[in-house]
Amino acid sequence: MKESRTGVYICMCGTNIAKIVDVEAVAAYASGLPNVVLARTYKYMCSNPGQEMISQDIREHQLNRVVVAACSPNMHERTFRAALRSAGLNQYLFEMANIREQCSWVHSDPKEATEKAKALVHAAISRVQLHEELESMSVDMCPNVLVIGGGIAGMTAALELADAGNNVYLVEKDNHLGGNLARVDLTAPYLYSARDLLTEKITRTFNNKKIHTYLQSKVSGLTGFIGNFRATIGSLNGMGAGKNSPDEVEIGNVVVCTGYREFDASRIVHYGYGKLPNVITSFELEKMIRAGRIETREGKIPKYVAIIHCVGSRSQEFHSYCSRVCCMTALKYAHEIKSANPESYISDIYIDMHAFGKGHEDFYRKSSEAKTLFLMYEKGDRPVIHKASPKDDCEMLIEVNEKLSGEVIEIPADLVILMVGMEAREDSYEVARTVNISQDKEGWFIESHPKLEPVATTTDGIFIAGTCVAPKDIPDSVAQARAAAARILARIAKERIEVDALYSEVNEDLCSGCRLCNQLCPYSAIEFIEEKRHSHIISALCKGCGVCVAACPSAAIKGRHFTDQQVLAQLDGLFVTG
Amino acid sequence: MAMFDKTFPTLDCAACILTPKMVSVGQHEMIRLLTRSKVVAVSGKPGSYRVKIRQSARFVDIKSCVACNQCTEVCPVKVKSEFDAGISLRKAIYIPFPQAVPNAYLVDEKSCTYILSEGKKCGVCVKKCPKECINLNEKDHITDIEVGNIILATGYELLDVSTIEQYGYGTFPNVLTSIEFERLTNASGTTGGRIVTKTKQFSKKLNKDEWVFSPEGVPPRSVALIHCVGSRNKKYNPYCSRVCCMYSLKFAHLIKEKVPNANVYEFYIDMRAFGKGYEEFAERIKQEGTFVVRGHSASVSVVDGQMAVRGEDIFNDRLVEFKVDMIVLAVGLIPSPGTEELSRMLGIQRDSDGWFSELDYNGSPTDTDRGGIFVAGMCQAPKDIPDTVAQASAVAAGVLGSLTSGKGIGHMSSVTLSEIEARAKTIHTI
Repeated sequence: MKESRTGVYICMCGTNIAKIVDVEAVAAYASGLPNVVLARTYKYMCSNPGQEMISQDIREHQLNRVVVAACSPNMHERTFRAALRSAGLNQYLFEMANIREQCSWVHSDPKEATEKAKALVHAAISRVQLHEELESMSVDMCPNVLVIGGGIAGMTAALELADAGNNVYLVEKDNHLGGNLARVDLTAPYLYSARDLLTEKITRTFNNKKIHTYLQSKVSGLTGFIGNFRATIGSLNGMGAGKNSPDEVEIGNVVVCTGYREFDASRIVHYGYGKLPNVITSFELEKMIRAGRIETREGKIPKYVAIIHCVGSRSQEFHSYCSRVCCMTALKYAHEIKSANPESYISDIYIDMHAFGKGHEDFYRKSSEAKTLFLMYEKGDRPVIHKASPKDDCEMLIEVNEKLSGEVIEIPADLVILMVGMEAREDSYEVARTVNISQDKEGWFIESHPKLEPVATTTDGIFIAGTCVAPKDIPDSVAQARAAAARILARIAKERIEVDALYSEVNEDLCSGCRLCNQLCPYSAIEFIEEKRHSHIISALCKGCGVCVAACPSAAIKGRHFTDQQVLAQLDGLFVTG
Repeated sequence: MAMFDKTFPTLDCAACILTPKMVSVGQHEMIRLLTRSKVVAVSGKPGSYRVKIRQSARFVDIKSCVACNQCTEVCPVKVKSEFDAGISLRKAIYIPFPQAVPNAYLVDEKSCTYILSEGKKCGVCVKKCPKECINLNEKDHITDIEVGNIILATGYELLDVSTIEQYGYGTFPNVLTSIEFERLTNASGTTGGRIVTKTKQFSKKLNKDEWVFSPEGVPPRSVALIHCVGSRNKKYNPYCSRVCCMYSLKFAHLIKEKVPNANVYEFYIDMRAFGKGYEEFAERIKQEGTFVVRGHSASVSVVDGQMAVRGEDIFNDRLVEFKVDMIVLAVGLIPSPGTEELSRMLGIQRDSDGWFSELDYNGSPTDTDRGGIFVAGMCQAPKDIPDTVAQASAVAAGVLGSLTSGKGIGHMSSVTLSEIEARAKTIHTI
């Protein structure tokens, strides 16, 4: 092996690292270690000058190993690998020490934190000495795309992809396209017709020869990897999924747009939903509006209508988050009820009025001008619904601890509308498992980075858009769906995709053919070759997770870039500091 | 965004997210970056627009400049730094911030002595530059380009807060705008990220005392954060600026983190914490001990040498007065200067608040009524970073689609709604 010449770079990350870790001390320590040619600090290593510094040092000082001590490799490993490449050094001769998330952000004692940073840097330096030059592979990108969910987001993504000339398999669980939006009449705040919007999308979807729509179907299996997935589409009603429909399709990318379901209002017992006949949900009102008549169960025009916000949302017992669309929808209802029954008195019982989007505040103002009575309650202090006595001229009385007046007020109501929040669908866990993506504690799918990659996931080739990511309104869902389509179109245009060189290899001479690894592999990347009686890893499918490496009783499997020697050197490095 | 310290609700640093993006743009072989530039004329149609761009002279050759800083050291002119929101000074030859892309210096023609004197005075930087890359006689360039699509991402600026008198901005030195506070708390800012109040310093130039931020300044004992300054107000911006609730909560967190003993009072009207993880963030801030007060704050005055903020406290049905050392105003957002001019040049509609109008609020939120011209980010209406990034990617879909189909974007504008309805009915009967 050539003499090792290692460069070490300690990032201050503004003050994120430097406020706890004495970066100069870490650099001084590193520069005294064997094989280290130089050690430098810089305010933002990931910036242009920071990266330039690394590439220039590689050229000027003939560095052949680089260690950057900064943030998580999830954040910037790719950035620094690119700096190595630009200086002509193999990108795998690099190691990152995470002294931010795993050090400065979680410790408060500067002295201890500095010692820990030194240990982490020493570990990285020890490891990088054993790194080998690896080459990434490039594989074909299949231009077909699978879209799961036929609501507004799913159709938007499908149309965008198909209009650009790609085959799209659009899989919808229900017997029609449109999703939750199909239950809506008008949209806030401009009162545009949801029906017009959907009809246009549905027509274009059905007319597009590139879109293969599967209704009453679901994706029951997905194997493969980015550019080369194979999906199984099964029918839910036992019949064939449609004419000329293959059950197995080849695709390069997946967009998940499975949407949301509404909160079950009967879970909040004292709102009496399911018991009091005229306490209804927002979607039940929507149905009445679509049918053209807003009335009580008894068929009467309600004189007093009350709308209660945040049902199931912004609550400690149910969902801590805000459902983002209900405030504006509530204002839309106030408008629609008033238009249908001008004699009605409408009260709107809210916590905070979330009128944050384009045209929202204006719509809110108009609603006040239209004499909607706004009553503010404090989060956690829910209004209570009573049945009125026969002498009252209304069905129910709502007791509100009203904050603007500072008084407890009783509001008459003949019809109460509960603004039910959004929640993750009952089958979201199944979907997440099928396509191998993660969910947060509320069940929403997790994006790979909320700001840098809001529609990508940690599984390459799987994108998420719309309300399956978190509650959002139509424009934001449409924008996300198009964003996902754009990311895919850009990849299709390149025709091939580079995959990481981190995969495992079987040493055929050592493999005993026990097949233990075959079942364990979560990516089905290991095949058994009968004639030779040994296992073989399909490198393009392997994600380098290391399960097989750990399980192999013959130590016949080597995880590239994670060899035993490399990991042990890293561990040894951790425990030897000055 | 380059001016920000942390981003809500995850508190990851803005620079960490932005610098790699800026570097990628700067280095991308398919991106030609034109800075200090302005579109002056557009003609043509979707698929083939001709765009005339005026590139203001930089006076420094980007290719040769190595950002060695020697020119800045000798430059005798000091003016307020725009990048630092005016809370620190810069020279007439400068780089806005160390990570700026392109990483080269530039000369501010409005303050350079040589340029203002038409070459009669100064010019020391030219003599000092070891790479001989400064040319103070450089002229503006006009560049013509041909493009198929145009993306508008011109962003926003803050409302001029001096038009709102009740909070004493400009009168009391420690009343700050949100962006001034953002620079104050920024690690690469003038105090190295320390949150301090301004100190009095004698200015030779003005021959009087001046209030300035210094790294040795005294941290505030108490801070008031005021929401909706100029927003949701018919007199200024009738609309909500969408990001101020969350960044004010972020400020509260940063103050509590850096000055743990400080009392923080936050006045709000509606707490609009609607995004993923936002409501949870708001709860966390309350638990950290910030006094979150619901109500309008009415006025700021000075009582016994200390500022006092007066306002209503709706939840407790009373009027309150808090003595504070610093006030941060969550100033509303308005379209960037030049938005109106651009809209006229391109024939793009604007809404009543001045933002660019999208083609269809629900269905085409990033298209405009002119084919091949798209909008993304704040210039369409205020929005946060995730929504901006999603919109920007969505625009890319429109552009990529127009490239693959070989013609403009495939809208059904020629088909009437009744035709669509009729078609939909036939589909249902199949």
